[in-house]
Amino acid sequence: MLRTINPTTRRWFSVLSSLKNTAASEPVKEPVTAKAEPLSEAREAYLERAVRVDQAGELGADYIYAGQYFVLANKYPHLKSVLQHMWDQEVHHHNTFNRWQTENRVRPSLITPLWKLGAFTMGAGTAAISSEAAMACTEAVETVIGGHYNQQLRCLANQYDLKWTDGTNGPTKEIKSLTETIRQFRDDELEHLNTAIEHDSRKAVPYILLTEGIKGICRVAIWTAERI
Amino acid sequence: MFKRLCQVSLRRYHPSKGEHLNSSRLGPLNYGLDSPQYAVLSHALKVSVPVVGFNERAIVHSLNQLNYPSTMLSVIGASNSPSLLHSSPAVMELVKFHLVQKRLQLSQDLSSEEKPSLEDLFIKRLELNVPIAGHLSQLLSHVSVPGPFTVDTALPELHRLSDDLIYYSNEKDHHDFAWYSKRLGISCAYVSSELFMAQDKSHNYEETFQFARDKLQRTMQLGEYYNNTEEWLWYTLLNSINLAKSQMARG
Amino acid sequence: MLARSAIVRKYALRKLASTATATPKLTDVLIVGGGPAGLTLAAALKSTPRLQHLKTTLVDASDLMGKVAPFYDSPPENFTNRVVSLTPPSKSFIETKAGARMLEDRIQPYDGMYVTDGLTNATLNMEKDSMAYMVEILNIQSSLLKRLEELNLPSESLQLMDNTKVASIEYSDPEDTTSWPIVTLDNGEVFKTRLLVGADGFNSPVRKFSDIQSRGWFYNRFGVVATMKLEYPPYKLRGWQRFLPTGPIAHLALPDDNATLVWSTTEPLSRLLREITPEQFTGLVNAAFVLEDSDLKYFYRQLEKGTISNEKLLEDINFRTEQVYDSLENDDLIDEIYPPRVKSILGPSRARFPLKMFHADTYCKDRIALVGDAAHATHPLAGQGLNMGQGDVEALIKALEKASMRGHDIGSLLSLQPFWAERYPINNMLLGMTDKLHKIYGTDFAPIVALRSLGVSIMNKVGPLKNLISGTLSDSGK
Repeated sequence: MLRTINPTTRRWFSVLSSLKNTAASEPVKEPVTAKAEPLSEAREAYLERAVRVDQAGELGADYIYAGQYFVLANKYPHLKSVLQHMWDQEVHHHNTFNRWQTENRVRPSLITPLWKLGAFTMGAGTAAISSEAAMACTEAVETVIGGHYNQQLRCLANQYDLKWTDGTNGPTKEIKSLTETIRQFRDDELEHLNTAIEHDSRKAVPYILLTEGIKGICRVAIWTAERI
Repeated sequence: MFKRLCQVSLRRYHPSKGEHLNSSRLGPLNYGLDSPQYAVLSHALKVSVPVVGFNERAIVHSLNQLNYPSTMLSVIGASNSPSLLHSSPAVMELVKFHLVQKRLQLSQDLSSEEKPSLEDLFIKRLELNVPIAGHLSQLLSHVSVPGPFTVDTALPELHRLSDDLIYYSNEKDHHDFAWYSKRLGISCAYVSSELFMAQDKSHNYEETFQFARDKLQRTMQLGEYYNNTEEWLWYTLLNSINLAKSQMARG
Repeated sequence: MLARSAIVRKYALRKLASTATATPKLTDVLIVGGGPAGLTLAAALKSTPRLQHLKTTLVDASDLMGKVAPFYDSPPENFTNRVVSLTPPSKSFIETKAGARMLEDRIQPYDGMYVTDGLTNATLNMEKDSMAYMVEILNIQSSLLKRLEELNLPSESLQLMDNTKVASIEYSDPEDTTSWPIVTLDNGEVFKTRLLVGADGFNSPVRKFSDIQSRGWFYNRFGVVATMKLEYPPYKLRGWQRFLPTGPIAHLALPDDNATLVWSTTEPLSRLLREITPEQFTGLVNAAFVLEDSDLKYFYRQLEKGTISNEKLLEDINFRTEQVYDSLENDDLIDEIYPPRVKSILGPSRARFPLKMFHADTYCKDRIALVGDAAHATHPLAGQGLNMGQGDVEALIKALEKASMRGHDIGSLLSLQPFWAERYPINNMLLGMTDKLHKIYGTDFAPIVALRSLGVSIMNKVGPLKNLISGTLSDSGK
C-alpha cells in the first residue's frame, strides 16, 4: 500500500505496510484444565466464514473512509476530525480481524483487490458528489454492517454452547472473546451511523437511491465474501 | 449448506489448541494413532516402502511382519473411490498416509520460542523424502494421475503443506490476495523440487537441496514483485486523481 | 558576511528570548529551510520588483553563516561530496532571477551522457553541448547567501535566522484553516505569517502541519557518494552511467582531474562500500565500469569475507581490466567507452543515503506552499532532484507575481493554485520516468534485459528520439 513518510501516522492505508512488518503478538491464552468438546465441522465452517466476511468487511470500511478522506479532507476542513476519528476506528477493526484471520488460519477472501478498489471508489465517489452523499454512504454501510454483526452475535450466542469435560456447558474463552470483539465493533459502527445522521446524511440528494443502492451492494458483497 | 461447504473448502477454522479435547482422528485421515490401519501403514512406510516402493507388496509385507491377516489389504483404504487408472485403494491410502504423516511430522518437534525459517522447514520436508527418494517418481505418478484422488486428496494435501510451511515458519503471513499467491508459489516450488529429487543422482541429494533453495528464493522474489506492483497501482491511481485535480485548479 | 542588519545571529536571539513576548512578529513570507530551494526563493523574492516589498523571513536549522557562507570567499581546495547536476534553465534562473553568481571555476559543464547496461553493454550515447552543469551544493547555497548579503537589506525586509528550528506551528484561529499560521521557533521567537513556505526537505515539518499526504516508497537501495581524483583529466567531458543489476553507478565530471561518484546499490553492499579501504573502493569503482557483473560479485564476496588483500584485489582487477581492454578492436576505444580511471578518492568524502520516491498530494493550501524535497523525492539516477526544486521556486515566484499584480492576497489558495497546476504534471512525469528506469534496470530477468537492451539500441540509432530524451533531461521537462 501507499506507505507514507511518517510511519507514526497509522491511519494511512495500513494494509500493505502492515504486510511488511512482523505479525502482531498473540493474545495471551491462559491454560485451561477442563476441556471442551471438539468443534463440529459445521461450527468450524461457520466460524471460518464469519472471520473471513468480517475481515473483508472491515477492509472495505477502511478503504471507504480512505476514499472519503482523500476527497473531502482538503475540501471540508470541518469534517476532517470527524472522518479521522471514524477512520482510525475502522483501521483498528481491520487490524483486529487481520489478527483473527492469521492466528486461526482462515483464508482471506479471494478477491481482496476488488474489495479494496470497490470500497475506495465508493468512498471517493460518494464524497465527490457531496459531503452529505458521503455521509449517506456511511449511513447505508453502517446500517447493513450493524445488522450483519447482530446476526452473527445471535448465532454465536445460540450455537456454541459446548459440553465440557467437567460436566458444565458453555462457550470457550475464544468464542467469548470473538463475541465481545464483534459486540464492541457493532457499537462502534452504530456510533458512526449516528455521526453520519448528525452530519446531514438525510439531506443527501438522491437520498433513497443512494442509500438503498449502497445497502444492496453491501449485501451482495457480504454474500460473496462469505463464499469466495 | 454447511456440509457442502466444508467439503468444498480446503481450509477450516483452527480453534485455539488449549481449550478443546483432541479429536480422535488424525487430520484428514479418518483413523487415529491407535488404529491397526495406522500401525500397518506407518510400518509399511518406514520399513517396506524404501525397499519395494509404493505398491501392494509393501503393505502385504508389513501385514505379515505385524502378524495381521493379509486379507486386511482389501479393507485398508476401502473408502477411496476406486479408479481404473489406479492400482488399488490400499496403495492410494498408503500414498495419502505418506503425504499426511510427513506433513504432520514437520510441526511435531518444533520449539515454540523460535520459529524456523521457511527455507529450513521447506528443506526439512524434502529431507523426510530421502528414505523413499528412490521411489519418488512412482509416488509422483500415483498422485498425478488425473482423477478424484488428485482433486480430493493430493492437491488439498499439497495446499495444506504450503499452509503449514508458512504457519510454522517465521514467514510473514498475509491478509489479502498475497495469501493465495504465496501458497501457490510455495506449492509450485515444492512440486518442482520433488520432480527434481526424483531424477537426482547426486550424493545425498545435494543438488536437490540447492535447487530447492534457489527455487524458493525466486518464488519469494516474485512475491516482492507482486507487492511492488500493487503499491505502484495504488500510487498511480491516486496520482492520476491528483493530476486531474491540479489541472482543474488551473481553471 | 551578510550585512549585519539583515542577520540576527543565534546568540543575539538567545538574549532576546527572555524578553520576547507572546505577541508574534508579522511577516509576509516565512520560508522554512535554507537549502538551495529555500535560499533561491528568498533571493528571487528580493530580486523581483513586484515582490521585493514582501517582508521575508528564512529559518534554517544548520549553521548557514558559519559553515556555508564562507565557502564563497574561501572555497576549500578539494571538491566537496555533495554535487548535483544543474540543468541550463535552473542555472539561468539562479543567475538571472535570483541574481546569484556561482563560482564558475568550480562548475563543470558536460556535453552528454554515456549510458551502458551492465548486463548486455547496450549503450545510449547522448550528446548535447552543455547538457547540464555539475555544481557543488555549497557553491549554490553560498552564492545565494552572497547575493542576499550584497542586496544589503534592512531586517524589516529580510530576516535570516540560522541555527534555529521550528518548534511548533498552529493556526492563529484553530477553527479557521485560512487564518495566518503562527510559527514558534526554538529560540522563543514567534512569527505570524501571511504565507508559510515549506522548503524543509523530505521530513518536512511544514508538510506535516499542513496534513498534506505524501505517497511513495523506499527503494531498499542506498546511494553512496564520493569525490574522486582521476589519473588524467578526461578526454571527453560527459557523464558516465552504468546500470548494474544492483543499481546504477554514475561518474560525473568536475573541473580538471576531479570527478564525483554516485553509486546506487543494495543496503548490505552500500555498507560494504563505506567500510572498505579507500584503495579497495577506488579499485572497485574502476572495475564497476569495465568488468562483468559476475567479476564484481566475486570481488564483493571476497571483500565481505575479508579473504582478499589490497594488493591481490587491485592486481586481480587490473589483470581482468587489461583482458577486457585487449579484447577491444583498438586502444582508442578505451577512452571512448570507459570513463577515465580513478586514481584515488578523497578520504572522508564517502557518504550514503537511502533512495526513495515520494510525491505529495498537493503543493499548496491556504497559507501554505511546499517546494523542493518537501513536495517530492526522487532517485538520483536522472539527476533531476534539485532541478525540480528550482522549477518549483520559479513557478511559485511567477504565481506570486501574478497574484500581487492583481492585488490578490498572496497567501490565498487562489493565488497559489497556478503554481501547483504548473508543477504537478512536470514533476509527476519526471518522478514516473525515473521510477520506471529504476524498475526496468533493477532486474536481471532475462526477457526484460533483452527488451531494454533492444529498446536502448534502437533509441541510440534514432536521432530525434535520442534528442527528445536528452532534451527532457537537459531542461527538466519544461
